[in-house]
Formats: sequence, structure tokens, C-alpha cells
Amino acid sequence: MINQRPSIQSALERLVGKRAWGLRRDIGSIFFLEIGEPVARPRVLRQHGEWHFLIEECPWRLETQNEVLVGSEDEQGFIDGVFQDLVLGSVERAEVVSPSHDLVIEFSSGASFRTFTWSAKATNEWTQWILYGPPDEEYGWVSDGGGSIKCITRDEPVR
Amino acid sequence: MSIDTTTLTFDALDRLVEENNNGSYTQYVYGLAGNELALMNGQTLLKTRIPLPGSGAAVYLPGSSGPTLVRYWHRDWRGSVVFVYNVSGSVFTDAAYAPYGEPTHPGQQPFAWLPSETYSDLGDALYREYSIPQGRWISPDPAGLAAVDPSNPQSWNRYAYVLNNPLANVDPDGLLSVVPSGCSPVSNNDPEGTSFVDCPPSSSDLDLFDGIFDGILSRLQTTNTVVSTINQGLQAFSNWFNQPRDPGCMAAATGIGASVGGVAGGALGALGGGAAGGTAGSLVPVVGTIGGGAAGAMSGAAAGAAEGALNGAAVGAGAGFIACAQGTGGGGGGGGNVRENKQARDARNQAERETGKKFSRSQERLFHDVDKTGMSYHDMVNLAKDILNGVINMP
Repeated sequence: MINQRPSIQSALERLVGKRAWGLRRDIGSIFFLEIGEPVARPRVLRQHGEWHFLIEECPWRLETQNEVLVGSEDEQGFIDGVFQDLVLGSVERAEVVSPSHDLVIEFSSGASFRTFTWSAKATNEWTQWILYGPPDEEYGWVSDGGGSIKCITRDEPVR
Repeated sequence: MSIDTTTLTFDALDRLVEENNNGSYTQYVYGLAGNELALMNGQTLLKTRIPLPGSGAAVYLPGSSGPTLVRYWHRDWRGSVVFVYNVSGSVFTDAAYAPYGEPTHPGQQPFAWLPSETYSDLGDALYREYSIPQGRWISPDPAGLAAVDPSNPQSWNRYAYVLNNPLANVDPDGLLSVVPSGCSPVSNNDPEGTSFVDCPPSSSDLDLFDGIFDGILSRLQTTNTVVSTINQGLQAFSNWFNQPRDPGCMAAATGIGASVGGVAGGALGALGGGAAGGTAGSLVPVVGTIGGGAAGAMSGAAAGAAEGALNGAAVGAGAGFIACAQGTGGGGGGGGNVRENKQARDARNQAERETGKKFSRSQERLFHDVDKTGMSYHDMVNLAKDILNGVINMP
């Protein structure tokens, strides 16, 4: 029997209408973006949303139609400042776009978030981003270095 | 009390008991001595530090089978954590601080008994918050005018930290400037009568480390266990001192340090030497006050500049040597982010290779949930290995 796993597009469609919050940078330009209400997960180190993205190794930009708000190669203090002050609103559109499955999320505030695949050759040596689903669901989605997206279970390795 | 998105709750004794960081709650548990003993989330332990002799601490984190001993802290005379050991005795990380607590290498461990649990730039005293970048309390001394000694101007500013004498004094609870345990007070007419001590630090980091271990030696009883601990500490320091340093970094940092130190030292030396020489020259009656003073000033300035340059260069080069220790971290914009991202990836991949295990997505999240401020590459590898081995486990 073939175990059909949910597509990334079906997951992204479920984000629409949910509140986006909690932009928090880890190291370099790696950061979390929380979607949906905060969820009480036992024994978590930090609070996360029902859904959340971990944006790891990929160029990215937060922008409006008129200006780039912040980009992945901005100074860390500047990134942190924008993250702290920016109110995103709710998700209005989320999708991955051709040709390399770049992630595009548009928010009700008018801001949008984009990632950019930086390699023509897909590789699983690193991760561009991970989308974590609700805690009671099994699947998450991983975009590898070349923009390939796979759906993994809770126990499967990321790479 | 709210700081940005963090809300702090205090008990009837004015102690911080709960932190609400954007909906993420942390409760604080204190020991009998008023020390911060543990951080909890409800009934779940987040971390605890058990005090040890010699001002050390045993650090426990949640493990798969309950709280797990993962690190040992060792402090300097001010109570700043300068070495963190793994349970095996190997160095997990080391740290150094400027006088008012600004981390210099790589920092972000608790400074002077003031852990930064609520906000990275704030040191948590029992009754007040200390701003590390500003080098002062963010609220005035609650004693009000009683904290002021009219004869000591350093006490007039109720925001001032330890009477602006941070190398000699500490203030773990935010109420009273005290001399660190093990140091002898020398009266200086300040309100506590203890604003100077007979164990002032040396400008040399090596002397500083000597002081740390001398302190440990003087405070611990010489049992076999203690001797073993000391040997581990000395070995760890030796390993740190002798660890490979990147040649490029060394050349640049020690060179720049020597240059800057030399220029600064030379300028200061010229001033000091010139003044001293001028004074001496003016005392020579035969040549005359003006001429002798000028000649003395010139020769004094030259000698002072040379001596100052040498000392400054040595101190500067030493600072460069320390900055080049393994994994100094840091980074910023303009390529720095890509480098740091790759550093995290390399650390994670190295841990996967060494353990033969692969990150699940919850482990990857945990790896990025941990604050890496001040972590070296080596620290990140250890963190990743701890997560993969279940030493740190938060499903």
C-alpha cells in the first residue's frame, strides 16, 4: 500500500489566515517564524506556534512592494531590530514557486517573505528551511540545498 | 515589570519568581542562601546549578531519564564563570570579561554572580537588573538616600555598580557592594568600608588564570578528589593555552594588538615619562629650570614612550593571542551571516559523523532553540552531540 504523504502546497494552504509572529534569530541569519497561536508543548525550550518555519541556510528577504525591509546578509543587529519591531499580521498567501521551489509568504501587513535557492544542483547536505506542523500531526516538510522539498515523519532524519 | 516582550513577576520579598517571554513561562527557584538554584516550567526542570566548593557549580539539564549532570562551572574571584567543563573533564568553553562585564572571550556566561536569564544584556541580581553594556543598574539603589555617603562621590550615583570599582567589588543581590569571598578588604572610607581589596587582578590574563587556580587551591581541602579536580582544571587550562590557533588570526590579531597597544602605550608613556622627566630636570639647579625641564621632559618622554610602547604592545599582542583561541565566534553582516550559518551546519554535521546519528526535525529545532551567543564552534559541536546522544532532550 502506498502511504501518500501530504504535499507542501497542501500544508502551506493551511497557513492562510493564521497569525504570523515570533521572528527570532538564532545564529547568522537562521531564524524561526511562528504561524498560528502559541502551543503549549511540554518540555520545549522556547515557545513555538502551532506551525513554524525554521529558516536555515538560504538567502532570504522580507519586503514590501516599495522597499526591502531586511535581508539575510544584513548586519545581525539590524535584523534583530527589524524582527523585534515588525508586525506581520496574518498569512494571506503561502506557496513555493518555480523553478526551484522558492518559498513566498505574503502577510496582511503588506510585507512578504521570500527565500532564494542558491544552487542549481540539489543536495541534501544542508537544509534551506523546515516547516513544522502542529504537534499532534506526524509530518514536517524540509527544503534541501537545491530546493527539493520532502515530507518527513517525526522520526525520520532531516537530511 | 515588563522589558520589551518579557514580563517579570516578583514575590513579596522582591525576588524575581516568574518570567513570561511571549507566552513562554519560566519559574525561578532560589536556594537557602538566596542563590538562583533552578529554572522550571511548571513541574518541568529547565536547568539547575548546584553550588560546589570554591564557588563552582554543577549544571544539570533535562535528560531522557531526568535531570542530567552535563557541565561544571568554575568562577574567578568576582564570581564570573571563566571555565565550563564537560563531565569528562574536557573544556566545554571558556570566557573572559571586561571590568564591567562586557564579554571579551567569548562571554555570555554569568558575570560576577549575575546570570543573564531574563535578557541577554541584563545581569540578574536578586533585587535589581544590571545592564552589562551600560555598566550600571537599570534602577536606583532601593535604599534611597541611605545608600549615599556624602564623603564618597562614587556613592552619589544610585545607579552606579559597586561604587565604580568593579575589579575589586561584587554585588550579587543588587543591594550592597561587597568584597569577593577570599579577598581581604582595605578600608577606603566608602559606605561599606571595603572598596578595595588585596587581591587586585593583574593586567595579564595568565596571572588571572593563576589567580583562579590559586583561589581554588586555597579554598578546597586537599582530598584525592579535589586534587584530581585541580589537576583536571590545570590540564584543561594547559590544553586551552596550547590549543592550535589559526595562524592568520594570530598574525593579524597579535599584530594589530601590538600596534594599537604600542601606539597607546607609547603615548601614555610619553606623557608620563615627559612629566616625570620634566620634574626631575627642573630640579637641576646648574642647568636651569627651563632648560633642564625641557631636556628632562624630552628624554623622559622618549624613555617613557619606549617603555609604554613595549608594555602596550605586549598587552595588545596578548589580547590578540587570547582572541585567537579556538572558535572565537562573532560575526556580523556582509558575509558574516553566511559564515555563521555554515559554522552551525558544520558543527551539526560533525556531531552527526562523530555519533553516527542523524538529527530528527525536533532535534534540529532544539539545536536552534538554544541561545548560541558566545558559543565557539567546539561548543556547538558539543551541543549537537549532547542533543543527538539524548543528554539534552526536549521532545
